[in-house]
Formats: sequence, C-alpha cells, structure tokens
Amino acid sequence: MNFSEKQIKSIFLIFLIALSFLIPAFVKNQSYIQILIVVMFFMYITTAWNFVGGFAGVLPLGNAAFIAIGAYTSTILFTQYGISPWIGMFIGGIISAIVGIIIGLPTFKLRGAYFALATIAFGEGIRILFQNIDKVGSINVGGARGILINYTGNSFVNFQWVSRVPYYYIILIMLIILLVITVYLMNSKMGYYLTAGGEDPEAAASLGIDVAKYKLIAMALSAFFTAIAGTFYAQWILYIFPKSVGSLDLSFEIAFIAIIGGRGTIIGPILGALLLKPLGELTRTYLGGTLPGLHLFILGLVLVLVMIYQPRGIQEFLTKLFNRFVKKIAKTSQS
Amino acid sequence: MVVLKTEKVVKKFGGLVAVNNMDFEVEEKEIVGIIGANGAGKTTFFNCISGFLKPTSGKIIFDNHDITNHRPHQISKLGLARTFQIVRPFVNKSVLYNVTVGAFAHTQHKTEAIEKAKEALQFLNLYEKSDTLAKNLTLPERKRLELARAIATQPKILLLDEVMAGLRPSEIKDMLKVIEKINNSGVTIVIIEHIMQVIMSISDRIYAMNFGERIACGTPKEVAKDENVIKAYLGDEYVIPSN
Repeated sequence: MNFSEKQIKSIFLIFLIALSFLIPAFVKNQSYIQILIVVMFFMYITTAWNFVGGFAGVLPLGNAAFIAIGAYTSTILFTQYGISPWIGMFIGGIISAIVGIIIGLPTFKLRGAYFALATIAFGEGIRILFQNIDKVGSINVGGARGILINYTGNSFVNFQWVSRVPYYYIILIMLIILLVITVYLMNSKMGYYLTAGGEDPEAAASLGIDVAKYKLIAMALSAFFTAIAGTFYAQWILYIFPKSVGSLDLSFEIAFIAIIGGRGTIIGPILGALLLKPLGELTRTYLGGTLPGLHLFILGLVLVLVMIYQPRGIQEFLTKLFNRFVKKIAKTSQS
Repeated sequence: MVVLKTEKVVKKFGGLVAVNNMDFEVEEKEIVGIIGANGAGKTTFFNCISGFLKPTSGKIIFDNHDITNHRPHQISKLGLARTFQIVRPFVNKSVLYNVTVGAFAHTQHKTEAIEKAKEALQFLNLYEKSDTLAKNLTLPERKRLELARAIATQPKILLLDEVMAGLRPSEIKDMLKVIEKINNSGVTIVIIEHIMQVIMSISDRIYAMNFGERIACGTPKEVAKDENVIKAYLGDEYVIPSN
C-alpha cells in the first residue's frame, strides 16, 4: 500500500466524521450524549466567535449577547406566535447580524483592550435589558424569570424531542456546516484580507484592503451563526432566562476556549472545547461539592500556563505532533 | 506625462508645521528621490500622499484623480503602493501568504493570486523562502518581502521609504539592482533615502527637504551643488572651497 500524507489526513478526517455520526449507536447513556452535545455546542459558538476574535485579530467579550438575541427571537416567535423555531432561527440570525454590524461600526475603531471593554459593555447591556423588560407592548419577554417553552413532545417542526440523540445530530451537522464555511472563507480573498487586517491594519490598508469593511462582514457572520446556536440552546433546554443565555461568564468562556485552543486557527476552537468542557464537567462533578468554584480556578490556571508556554494555543503543539505521526505512517506505508 | 503631483501640501501637528507648501511632481517611469535630514518631513509627506495622514491644506493629484481626501486602501486601488520605513510584514504568516494578500488586489481567485505572488517572489529572488514565516526572515529579506508584496498589487507608482536603512553595503548594491529592475518593468518610483551615494546614483531627479519645505529640486548634480542643500546638510559655517 502506498499513501501520501494528504491521503492519510483525509482518511483520518473521514474516520473522525464517521465516528462522530456513529457514537449515538454505541453510547446509550443519555447523560454522556448530553456532555457531547455541550462540547459540540461550545465548539460551534467558539468557531463562530473565531471569525472576529481569531481571524480579524480583536477580542470580543460580549458574544453571549448574540446567543441571547437568537434564543429570545425564536422563542418569542414560537411561544407567542406559533412560528416554527426553524424559521425563528434564521430571523434571529438576521437580527443578530444587524445588531453585530451596528455594534461593530463604532467599536472597530477601538484598539486592543478598549474594543474588548466595549464589547463587554454591549454584552452586559443586552443581558440587563432582557432582565428588566417584562413586556414590550403585547410581547412577553419574561424579565428575570425568562421564558419557558411549552413542551409538545417529539416534533420536527417544533424542534423538540424526548431523546437527546436528535439534538446530538443537529449540533453535529451545524458544526460541520460552520467548519466547512470557515475553511472555505479562510481560503478565499475574504480570509486573506481579514487575516491581513487583523495582523497589521495599516500594512493591509497599504495593499488596498478596506479593513473596516472586512471586519464588519466577519462580525455579521459571527453574530448570525452565534444566534443560530442560541435557538438551538433554547430548544434543547426548553427554558431560557437572561443569565443562562446572555451571561458574561458565557462570553468569557468562549474566549478562554479559543485562546487555549488557538485563536485564528480552524482547529483551535475544536481542541479548546474538547479539552476544557469535559475538564470543567469532571471537576464540577467531583470537586464541586467540596470546593465549589474550583473548576474556575483550574480553568484560570490552564489559561495562564497555556499563555506562557503555548501562546498560540495547544493547537500548535498538537498539530506538529499529528503531522509527525502522519509522516511516519506515510513512510511505513511506502516501505 | 505627470503621474503624481502635489500642490502646496501643508501638514500641521498642532503648532508644528511638518510639511510646508510642498510642490512636487513625478513624471511617468521616473525615479525621483527625496532627501533631507532627520525630521525634515519626508515620511510625513509620504503619509499624506498615501492617505495615512490627511493634509491640513493643499491638493494631491494621482493619475488624474484628486486623492487628497482618499483613504489608504482607495489610493492603493488606484495603483499607488508604498513600503514602510519600519518594515511591517504579517509576521505570523508565510512569505507566500504575505505576497498573496497583495496579489488579491486584481483578482478574486486564490489560484490566480498565488500565481501572481509567485511571480513577484521570483522577481525579487525570494521564491526559495516562500514557505518561511515572515518573522523568521533576515532584515534584507524582510525589506525585499515588503517590496514583493507592494509590487504584487501591480502599482503604477511605488513609494519607497528608506528601503536601504540598516542594510550592509553589499546588500545595498543588491537592493539598488532590484529597484532598477522594478523601474525597468514600467513602475514609477519615488524613494526617500538618507544615504547620499545611493540616491544620487539611481535618481533621475531629486527633491531636497528641510524643516518641511522644499529647498531644492533638480538633477542629482544640480542638487548636490545647491547652496541651500549644502547648508542644510553641513551647516552655515561650511564654505565651499574655491579653486
């Protein structure tokens, strides 16, 4: 047998995708499936964050606001107007993209920490808004109590299932679609221009790049896809309230995962979520009772260590390792 | 034909006048040098032309477009490329990636952009370094990378801001060859430089600046003999020895 490195990599990818589709056939314990959904949910929202936080080179810390916008839009449309969450999902995405552009217009003029601070203010602003508004006209927003989604039993149109498995497949497909879009964009003019603008805005401008325009497009895409995850969350948990979908903790967690995994790389958010979410779940389960808050401490520690020893995230080290491994297989297959 | 022209360009920073009443003209396919001591306003003048600074007053015309209030990316799209005094490569990206960004100026397709980028790299003898990360290049290589990136945008005119600074004499020789090669391919060049021999040898015409003002303009020989230039470089005390 004779395999090139590229072939081996494609085989790995196909194997990985096939494996993720087959997992529910073998894993019958619903709580394990639930953890996998959580992991993929975070892979998805961090990949969406990465358009702005990774490739455009700024640090948004308010992305939970987009999750909230998506979750609230589809939930209000579903519970009060009977519109299917599948449709609400896209309406929420579009509203979120528009909000993203409105927020991006003034904030992209800010640099470094100032941009991050502005997005924190925006994220918190949206959460406090949802928390304090009970009703807008006849629309019930629910205030701090949030909105409970009426349970209808298994129904595709209503985006509801008893079993966790359909949710598993939906988030898996959402993740694959988003990753394909990311790979496509990053290999296009848009990706080159966005990355260049993120690395050095002035050098990019000297090459004819309208840096602000490309950042706004990235922001709109990021907000759109993040909002879609908001709808998924709402239908998966069937209950939303401002602190669950719009909290600052959530915004920070997205950034942590991206930084630890590797900002501005396609694989970074995947590895980050794969490492951090199970770690968080385990420490919470085993240490949460005796030492509450310890899991956050561990997260902080991991972040500091990664920043010192792997400033470009764990992806750099793991990609090298993987490439070496692939090379070895290619060699043995040829001899 | 005049490609680039400025009329009475003034740039003030608060009370400081960095560029004062600059009249400047470049003919097609010329190499024009700008000389002047540190702080004479050369780079500020470049920044005004390329849109990174808005002139306080005056007019800049490039290729029959009034670009006075254009933004940098718009000016670049019209065909004016520049390099920076302190090189600014995209450090975490490969050499090829850097140049491909420039090459996307005239195409939507990645394969075509990469093709153009490779041509530019070959033109500057940097092709073997295609896969090297920009941060791992030596200074002369970085300067050539910056040039490659700029010419990949296929400019009509190229503004070079001290591309020789920090280079060794042998490297300067190579760089001069590169600049002449670019010029021979039909690109007009405006170059700021400190090193007199360098600029004297390649420029068709030279402008001399002092305290933001143009003090002389003409062929290298004329400028070298100009009283104001000698004063600015050597001080008032210097007396030309008479034969």
